[in-house]
Amino acid sequence: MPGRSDLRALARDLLRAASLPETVVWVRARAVGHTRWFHEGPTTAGESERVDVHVTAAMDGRSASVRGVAERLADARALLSEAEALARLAPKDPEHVPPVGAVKVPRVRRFDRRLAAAGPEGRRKLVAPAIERALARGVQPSGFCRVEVQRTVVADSAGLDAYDEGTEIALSLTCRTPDGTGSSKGGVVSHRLRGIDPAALGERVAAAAERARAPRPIDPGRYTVVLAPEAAADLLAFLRVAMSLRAAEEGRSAFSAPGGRTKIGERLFDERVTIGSDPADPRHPSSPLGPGGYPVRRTVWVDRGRLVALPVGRAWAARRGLAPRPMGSSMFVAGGKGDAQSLVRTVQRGIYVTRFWYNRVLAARSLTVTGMTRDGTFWIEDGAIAHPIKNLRYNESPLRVLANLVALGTPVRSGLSRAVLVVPPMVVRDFTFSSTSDAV
Amino acid sequence: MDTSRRQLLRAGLAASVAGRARLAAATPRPFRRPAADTPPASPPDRAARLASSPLAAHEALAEAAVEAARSLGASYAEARLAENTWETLALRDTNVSHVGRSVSRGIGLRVLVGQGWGFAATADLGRAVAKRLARTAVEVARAQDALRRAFGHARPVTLAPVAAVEGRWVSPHEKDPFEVPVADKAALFAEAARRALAVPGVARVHAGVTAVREEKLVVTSDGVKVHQRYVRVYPRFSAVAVDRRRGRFDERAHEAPPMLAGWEYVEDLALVDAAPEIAEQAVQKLHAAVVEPGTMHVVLAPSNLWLTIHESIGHPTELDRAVGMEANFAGTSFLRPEDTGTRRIGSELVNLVADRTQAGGLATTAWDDEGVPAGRWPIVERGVFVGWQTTREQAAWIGEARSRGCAHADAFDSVPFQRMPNLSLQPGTEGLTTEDLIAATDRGVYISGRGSWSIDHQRYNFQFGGQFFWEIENGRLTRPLRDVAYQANTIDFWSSCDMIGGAGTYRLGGTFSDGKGEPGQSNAVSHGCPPARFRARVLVAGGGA
Repeated sequence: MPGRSDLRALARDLLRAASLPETVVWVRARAVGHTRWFHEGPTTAGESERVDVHVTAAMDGRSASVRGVAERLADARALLSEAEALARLAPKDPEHVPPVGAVKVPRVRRFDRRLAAAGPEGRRKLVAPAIERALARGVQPSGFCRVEVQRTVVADSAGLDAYDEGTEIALSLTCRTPDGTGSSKGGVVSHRLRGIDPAALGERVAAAAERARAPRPIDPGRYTVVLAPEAAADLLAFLRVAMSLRAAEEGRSAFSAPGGRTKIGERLFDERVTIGSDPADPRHPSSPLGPGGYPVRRTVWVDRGRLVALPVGRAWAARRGLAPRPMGSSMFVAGGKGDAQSLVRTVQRGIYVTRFWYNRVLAARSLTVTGMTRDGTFWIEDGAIAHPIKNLRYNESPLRVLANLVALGTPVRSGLSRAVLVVPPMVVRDFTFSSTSDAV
Repeated sequence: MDTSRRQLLRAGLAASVAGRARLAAATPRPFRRPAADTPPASPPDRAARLASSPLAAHEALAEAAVEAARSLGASYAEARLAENTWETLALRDTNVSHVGRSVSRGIGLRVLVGQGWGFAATADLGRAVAKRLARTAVEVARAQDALRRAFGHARPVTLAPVAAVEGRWVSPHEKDPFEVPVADKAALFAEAARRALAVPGVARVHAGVTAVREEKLVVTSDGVKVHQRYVRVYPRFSAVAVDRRRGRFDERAHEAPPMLAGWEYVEDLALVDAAPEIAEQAVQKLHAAVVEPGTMHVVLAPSNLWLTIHESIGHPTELDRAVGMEANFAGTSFLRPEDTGTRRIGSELVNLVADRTQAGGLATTAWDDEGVPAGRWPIVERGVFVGWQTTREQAAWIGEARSRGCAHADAFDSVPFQRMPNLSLQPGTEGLTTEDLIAATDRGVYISGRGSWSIDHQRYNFQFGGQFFWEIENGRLTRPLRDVAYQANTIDFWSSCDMIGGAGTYRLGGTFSDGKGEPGQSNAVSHGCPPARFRARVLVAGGGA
């Protein structure tokens, strides 16, 4: 796999060869390995490698982007020529913005050499204990392990010269009971190997599957819920999609207010809710590169329940005379103390949700989302898990969830999401379930 | 009857007439040619052009990779050269906000060593690659074979036979979308946007088109050498109406599906003529009435029903899901192999057919990614589940001698696995029209277009929205509704199907992004259907329950 200097040389060559006034070049080398299995054996596994070049060329507000695999300099130059030819023919965009220029992009440390060297045999050794523990407990394990290494250079004709590199492992495991009535899922995503314990994952998920066996139906309706961090993250991820200053100012968002205003400055949520993003978080680092190579910076979006800022793209920032403010791929939600189990102890009657599935926006205006519970849903009675219940469909808005908070636990990273979502388990009142399902 | 009630009824009557006229307006040009029983032929001159494609120049590399894998101990090897080219044009109002192309080109090698599958891929197409690729793929396969020991007894891998074949195929299209200048494409969508923005209340238009050219050359150790090219287009157009004073907005999207076709398909949509109506309906949605929730009839237009077919029939009849291979991600199925031929999942009227030879179908091909010829076979017959989607590895699991030809990889660096064929609801025999279905309905909702969609991981409980909704009362479309969703259980839903339109009402819908697998892959697939009537629980989409 090419190193930083190879990628940088390629980017510089393209900038030198460019013939239009504005050029932005991304060069990314990526190696991905995966190992997959289901309860009757391994299924697919693979190793792949590629270098992609993404060139944006522009003149007089005419712009085009071409992205392609580029194993050789000639491939990359061909992409540049194609971008320039397309840009000359492209209609003018009045909102065109020039390249980012000589902005300093901070380095984020998230490269683990041990992880980068794992290979197929390394992955086999990693996943085998999780499988063996689950099988030893008599449940059916299915799972997936992906290891990715990437190096990225972004450079532009106005002086930007940024670099980012990282490794990532995602390991997930689903255990089903042989009678087909219980299921559980757990996982971990990290930039490093340290702290990953597949055997413990196997034990934990297998035990949870047994607890989820033979669920009973309950009537749909409004309930107090305890959301595990993964479940809370599934819902709050929709805030990331909806948060846009432009959409809010143009009246096209749940953050628009009547009379052409936005909800910035309003207290929308419980005052314990503070939401920010930070690519350089030492425990949960993510890419510092935003659109165009503009740096993602640490930002607070919601401060003690009050919406204080919304992400701004470069074009809208230019029009409004603001600095761009990308959100990046992290979201940190502040919390309190304790895990989901300790929150369960505070609830008289309610439902414990371990995760959601197939979540989709149902109504953009209210940011109402629909989806299902999956892989373990439980009835809470007198501060304890009473029994598993059948999966439920919910129709609910994350905005209402954050307004209807009862309690928050300690934030942890969702191990089932590629984006860095660090979210506390939470107790929420009046959560709307609309129907049940026999799905296990 | 007071005046306001009379006015409402009069308005309803006008809307009813207008509504009927509009039933067809937003629907794309039909593809109604009967499906062929044999792989679709492509004119010899078009297929011959593949011989001079850049991919063909690397055929020797693919052969060398297969050979190298065999010499390293692989019992089966399959090399796939693939080049995917995408062109995306996006407009914000009348302005072009993005012109982009992307090309992914490389080689993937899949091997079977012992009982372990291995795969390796690279974008490097240099001569020295074959051996390196084979070594990596075999190393991966050996690790998988070793991992089998963790399972004690693992399911054996046997491949159903495939006939040795050498062939070329190019999907039918008249105008290569990559040869239409970007400026001409932009001009068409900009003019449509201009017409839509002229409608008072419309604040934003999102428009654009994606063109895809997918080419692949598969060489296997079983004597398969097939080279194919597919051209697909996906036009998009939607208008957003904003009422800033009340702080409300709503969006109406055109209902044209993506299609295995060339630029001629986009031209035939007459988008510029359709734009004002799309825009007016966006504004109408802002002011439409909220639906009265309850269990009632829903009459679903093909532009809505195709996605319900995809999610509730398409996914649960994938055999890999049914045996548990997708348990960690996409989910399993409410159907089991032992249900084949016996389990009733719909009314007598319901017949569904899988067909990889269907004209215009996004999953139409001549051979699949294992060299199995494309075919047509029943999935549901008179309401009874009868057939699965399979690959060579899966055929034996249900005692079938041959694969159904559903192997597919979405790029050179993706592992081929079972993906959905075009899967369609067959027309009724009585020649019914949409109007007949509405006229027979006392109370219900007519739903067209694709909205929100969600279904559980075993495909029982689903909820779908739509693009536009009409209230049906006493056999007439009375008034537009907003924020409608319908919820049902798959078997209840298909069992309640009591009216299906005739052959003249059959339309294709489809998607570029049928998702499955880890790492995730996208499959392009179409679903044809006539309008049909069901019973479902209708609810208000925006307001909680």
